[in-house]
Amino acid sequence: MDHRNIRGKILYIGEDNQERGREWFSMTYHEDGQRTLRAHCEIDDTEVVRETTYTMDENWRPLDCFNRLHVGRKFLGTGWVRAYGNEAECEVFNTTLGRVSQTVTMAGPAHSLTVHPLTCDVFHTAGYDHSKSENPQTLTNVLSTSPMPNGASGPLLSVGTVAVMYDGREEITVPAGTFEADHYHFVLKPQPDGTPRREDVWCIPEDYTFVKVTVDGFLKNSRYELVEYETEY
Amino acid sequence: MKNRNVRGKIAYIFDPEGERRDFGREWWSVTFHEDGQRTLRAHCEIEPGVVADRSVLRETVYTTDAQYHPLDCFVRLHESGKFLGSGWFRFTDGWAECEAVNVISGRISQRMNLDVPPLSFGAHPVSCDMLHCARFDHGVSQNIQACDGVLMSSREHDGCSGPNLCTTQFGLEYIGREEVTVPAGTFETDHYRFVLDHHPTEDLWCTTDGFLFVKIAVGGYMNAHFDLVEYEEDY
Repeated sequence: MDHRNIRGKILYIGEDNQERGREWFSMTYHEDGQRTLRAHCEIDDTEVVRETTYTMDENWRPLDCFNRLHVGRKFLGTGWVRAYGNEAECEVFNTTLGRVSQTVTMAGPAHSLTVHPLTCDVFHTAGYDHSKSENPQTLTNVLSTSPMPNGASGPLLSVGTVAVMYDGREEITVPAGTFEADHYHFVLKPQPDGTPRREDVWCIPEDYTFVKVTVDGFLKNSRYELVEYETEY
Repeated sequence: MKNRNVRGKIAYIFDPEGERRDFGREWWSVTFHEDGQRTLRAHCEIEPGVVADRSVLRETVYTTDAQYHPLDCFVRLHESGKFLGSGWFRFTDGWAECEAVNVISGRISQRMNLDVPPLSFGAHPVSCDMLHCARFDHGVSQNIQACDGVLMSSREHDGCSGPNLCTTQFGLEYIGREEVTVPAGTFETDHYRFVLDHHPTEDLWCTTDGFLFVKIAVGGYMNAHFDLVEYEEDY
């Protein structure tokens, strides 16, 4: 067996500097190039508990994903997403929607999938093409399991775009250690009242492993930091 | 939020002549949700040579209700380094369903009508084996008790097929309450035994407050034991 495992833990910290959630994740880099991320997320103030098992191909493009949600201390939904060719499907049971089978058709293969663990936000940046001078770059055919910023609906598929800007390589220190990281940010539409929104992402180059995320203008201006990190645990 | 989290790690050990060989490992965690649901996540790695001549990597996320009846489950498999299949199971009082893709079978949708509510589900992590024991009725004197129509994700001993819906049956025997010491510590356990027709007898020791894994011993050709080597509460 010639795969590689890593694991980590992320703390969600509000602008009052208090912990408002946490995420445990682990990842397997398979021998055939697939990469499987497992995440268990807890958001205290909006009462969201999420399970995610998300697998990508060797180019970080989505293959399949399991997502399960508790919201407001009660079960909300469970679903399985599969991307293939220019299509994606979602088999879901949700306490409001009931049993849903959904298929969406895109203009091309899915670039990435927003499935809402913070660890998964980072994977969008794998679609940034560093051989091109264009900056920011817009990724098309990006799937999402929920349009809500905390992912607390569905799961059900929608398709959109993500604009990614590369801000350079930086050394960054978080509780888990000091890392050489690639810094990106997502170019986001402002809130309806005009408040600007921004999400900055720092990740380990090549592996796209989460190091830090900060958000401004939404999600309670939180910061998300890697507090534990282990390889070959 | 007041959900409870526990986690652990299991070593798969083969030592027929006193020469220990670790042939796999399983990391698991359980969330006891406030609404009574219990979600078990497991990542399993089985090396070739003991159970079958292939390696297996498995992802499982399995949720039961407060009485340990299955609600839904995700299973994803790699066989000998290559993707084999990915599937989602859901269980209701009247039927069970499976939506899956497998490199041989392609995309399948399965639906199985059930005469009785689903008793339990074998998703193949050894941490999940314990949950079958919740079906033993301590209110009746019969011992061994029949578990018929138990749903499975695979009939292979290492779970390396499908995933798809199938059924099995076995006898469930309660041996008694025992104190057991494993590398993760000493635990008060309930000791059960699976009595199977086409599988070696399997002895299981689980915690008395939630059917959490402590130890398994499997006889016959497998001649293996599975020990809890790490355990943490509220990690």
